Amino acid sequence: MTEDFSQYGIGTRGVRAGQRRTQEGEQSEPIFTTSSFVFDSAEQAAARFSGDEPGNIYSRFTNPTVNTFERRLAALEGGERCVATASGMAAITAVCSALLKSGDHILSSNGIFGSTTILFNKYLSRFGIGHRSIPLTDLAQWEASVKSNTRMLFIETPSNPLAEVVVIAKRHDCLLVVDNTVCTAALQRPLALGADLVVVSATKYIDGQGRCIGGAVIGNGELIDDVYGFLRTAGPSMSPFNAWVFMKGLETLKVRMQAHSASALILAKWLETHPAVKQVFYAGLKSHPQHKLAAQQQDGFSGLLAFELKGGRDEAWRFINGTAR
Amino acid sequence: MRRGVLLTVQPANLGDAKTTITHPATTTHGRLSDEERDIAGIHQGLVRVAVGLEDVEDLQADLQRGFDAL
Repeated sequence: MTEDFSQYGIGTRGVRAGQRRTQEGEQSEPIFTTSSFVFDSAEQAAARFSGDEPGNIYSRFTNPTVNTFERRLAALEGGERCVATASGMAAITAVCSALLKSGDHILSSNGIFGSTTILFNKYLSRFGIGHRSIPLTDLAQWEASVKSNTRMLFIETPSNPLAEVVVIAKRHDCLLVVDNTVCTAALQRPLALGADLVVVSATKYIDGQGRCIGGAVIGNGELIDDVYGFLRTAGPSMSPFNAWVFMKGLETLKVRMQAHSASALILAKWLETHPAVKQVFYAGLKSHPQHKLAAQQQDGFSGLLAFELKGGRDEAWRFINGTAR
Repeated sequence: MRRGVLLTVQPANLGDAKTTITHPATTTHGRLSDEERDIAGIHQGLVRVAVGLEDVEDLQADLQRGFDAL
């Protein structure tokens, strides 16, 4: 079976890419729950460990089920290689640990996931890595804020929960890292738009049924090889069971994302007409400031929406509690 | 009358088949300072809905209960 799925559509890639059947002739992908692998000889063991011979060694960094998930997600994102990680945060930690050094500077959008902000500000700062956050959609401020030591631009587009969207384009000599958790590869392929690396929390839409924690980094060439090198050494690895759940999730990802998007648009339009609502944040709405850009850059608007009620915390809590009564 | 049981009030996840409803200012963004939250645009009146795969008419009925409680 061909391993190159670049000529196939996203739905086909999600169902078919990455599978390598064993001699058992199984239709559905198996789970290899083994920590380590055996070798025919001392010579073969040495060749595997040195990298002269490809093959399985140890499930911290080579597991057939995890590798199948990685090949499938790489095909969906349009990257040469994917590295699966224990969580979405482990994916971001692996990228920063592998590719940044003391004295480097990160520029990020200011609405990024709270844990990512804390990773940058509380932990990476201890290793001499600076961080500044700026408004996602303020392109002039992005341009003005790039310093000589700015090594990484980190963005989430669309953002969570306000669904702000920015154009994905390579700028300056900085690594462009895009968190693609909200859209997933089913709706957006940042590598084709100029991103150097994609990170994703697989826990969200890739699983799709709230079962497992996991993440991934997707990219090309030496960059992704360096991320793999960090994972192999430091070990924030994905378990084979979780990889199997995520791999099967990829098979239904396209149709699920279409269904999430369709329902979210109906609800967003309805919420927008309600007198108790001050503003709805959903890029599928024509009233959204980046609606046109989102429609060009994405194949859908995802299932995430937010709205601001007239009033404050008390009204929001009353609303939330009221939905379940 | 049918009870509202669909929207799970839980902060951590999104992307689930089960729709979740969240108050970002006191959950996902609760560890940020007031200033950081303001800069990020996470106001106290903000409600997040991660729309799942239930029938949209049923979700709308549950959200209507939220409005009725205001």
